[in-house]
Amino acid sequence: MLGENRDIKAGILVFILILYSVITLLPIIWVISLSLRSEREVFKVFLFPSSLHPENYIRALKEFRLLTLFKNSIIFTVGSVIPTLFFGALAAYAFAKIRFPFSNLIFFIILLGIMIPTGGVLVPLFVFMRNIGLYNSYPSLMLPYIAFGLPLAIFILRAFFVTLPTELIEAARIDGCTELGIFLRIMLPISRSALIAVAILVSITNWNEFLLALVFLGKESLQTLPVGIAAFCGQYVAPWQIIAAGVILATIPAFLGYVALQNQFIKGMAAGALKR
Amino acid sequence: MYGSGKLSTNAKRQATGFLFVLPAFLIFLIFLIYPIGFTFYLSFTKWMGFKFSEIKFVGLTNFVNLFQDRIFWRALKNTIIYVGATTLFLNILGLSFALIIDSKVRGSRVCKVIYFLPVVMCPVVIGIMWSRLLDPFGFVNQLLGRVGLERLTHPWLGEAKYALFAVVLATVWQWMAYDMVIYYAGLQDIPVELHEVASLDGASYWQRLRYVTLPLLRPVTTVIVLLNLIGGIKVFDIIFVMTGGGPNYHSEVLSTYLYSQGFTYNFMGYASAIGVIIVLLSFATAYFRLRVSYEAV
Repeated sequence: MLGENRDIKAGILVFILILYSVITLLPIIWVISLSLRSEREVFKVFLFPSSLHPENYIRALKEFRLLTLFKNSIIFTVGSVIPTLFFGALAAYAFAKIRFPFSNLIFFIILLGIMIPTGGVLVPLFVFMRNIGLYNSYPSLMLPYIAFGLPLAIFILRAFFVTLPTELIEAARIDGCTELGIFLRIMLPISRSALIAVAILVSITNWNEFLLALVFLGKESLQTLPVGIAAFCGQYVAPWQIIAAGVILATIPAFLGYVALQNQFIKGMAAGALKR
Repeated sequence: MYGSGKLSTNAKRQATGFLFVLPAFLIFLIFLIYPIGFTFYLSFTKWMGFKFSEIKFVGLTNFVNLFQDRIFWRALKNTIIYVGATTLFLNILGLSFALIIDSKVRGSRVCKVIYFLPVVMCPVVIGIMWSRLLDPFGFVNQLLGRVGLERLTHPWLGEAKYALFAVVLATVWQWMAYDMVIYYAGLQDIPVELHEVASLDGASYWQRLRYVTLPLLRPVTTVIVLLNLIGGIKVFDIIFVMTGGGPNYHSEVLSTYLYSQGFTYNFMGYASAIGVIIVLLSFATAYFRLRVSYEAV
């Protein structure tokens, strides 16, 4: 009797899980189906087109200028994530292991940065970038991305460095290692897992960022993936099957990364909210 | 002798620590703190954004105008509805699915991976996807037509009643698993013994949920709710892509209004005043959320 009851409960839970899987996957599958249709069938077919048209992807690649967009997004992401990681780790290490006057106050002020919304800095940053001649350049976006990434990076990495034994550092100091040497040769290598988590979190954030990229880059040749896609899809004439193909192509890198490193991705994305 | 030697190495070490923090702190000051200050300053001025010499101080005019601006009030109201609705649904669904996955029922591991897929997608892409799904000729209406519910079809994004709701739907669809994995991690930190003791005392599943799980999850809940609130207040991309704030400002939020005032019409002072409201709203939310949770502990 009890066992039967349990089976029914498990059955209901499995049903709910499957239902929500369908809710998650069906929209994505529908867009994939859309991306493979002929122009004639776009509005006529529900899920299964009568013939497949992979050439839509080639058209999307060209019309979206996807290769340029990918190139720019990679440059902006890599160019902002590496400095964020390096300067973030450097500061986080100092906050965790080398106390100095006002270090806690400075840490607290930097933490407030996590709360700063883009809208609060958009107008002055735009004016600032234009006046120092950086509007429409790679640094115009990288510098704010670094600034927005640092508070969270420092927060997560400091929490990690605090857990490391101080004896390790003391021993290195006695051996005559400089503080920078300790950081570069001991601290960075053993914090690989934390650095990877932060790298994933900041990369995804910057890769997807839209508002700053929309305002700071007027030149088409510099546009990032989100801005380029939004601009293309904003045209009334843009055919649906090409939009769908472009959107799928744009999502593939993130999906590949996620499939390859599921757990690190989940951990990385949630890193800001979790202690571990 | 020895003492002074130690002091100097200590001072040197402190100086090194300060130097380590300096680059990050400078970037932070120049690209976040200085602009925020400048936003506050510009909010008291009238400026079209060209020469600095043209900045005209106008006192509180921008704020007076803002509070008489029907569209601003609508944007503020929509922001609050959006933030409230997304936070509510994300937390209810996130916690529910975290509990289901935690029950280790068959398929829960696979589902966790599937549910997380939209989280790694770009919000702009999600917005484009959902604007096709909710198009008059899109998937949702097709589906309704197929199951004989044709009278329920709507041009969802084009109708004042549904536009904001549609954006909430897309947002919740994207981020549910984010809340879920954080709740799930929180559940793993609750000692199994507590549940065993409660079971031995005859507590039912719901009683254990009410008196053991939920109270112990409170710190996790605080963080997630705060992240959802802050994320909601600054929402821009998904609304910009799906509705552009329309129809007739019925899904306009503060960030989209700031963008159009500042970068379509070049009203930099007015846009800055909206920016000030967004900053104050974020900090007030964080402050009250954290204070309430500290008082509860």
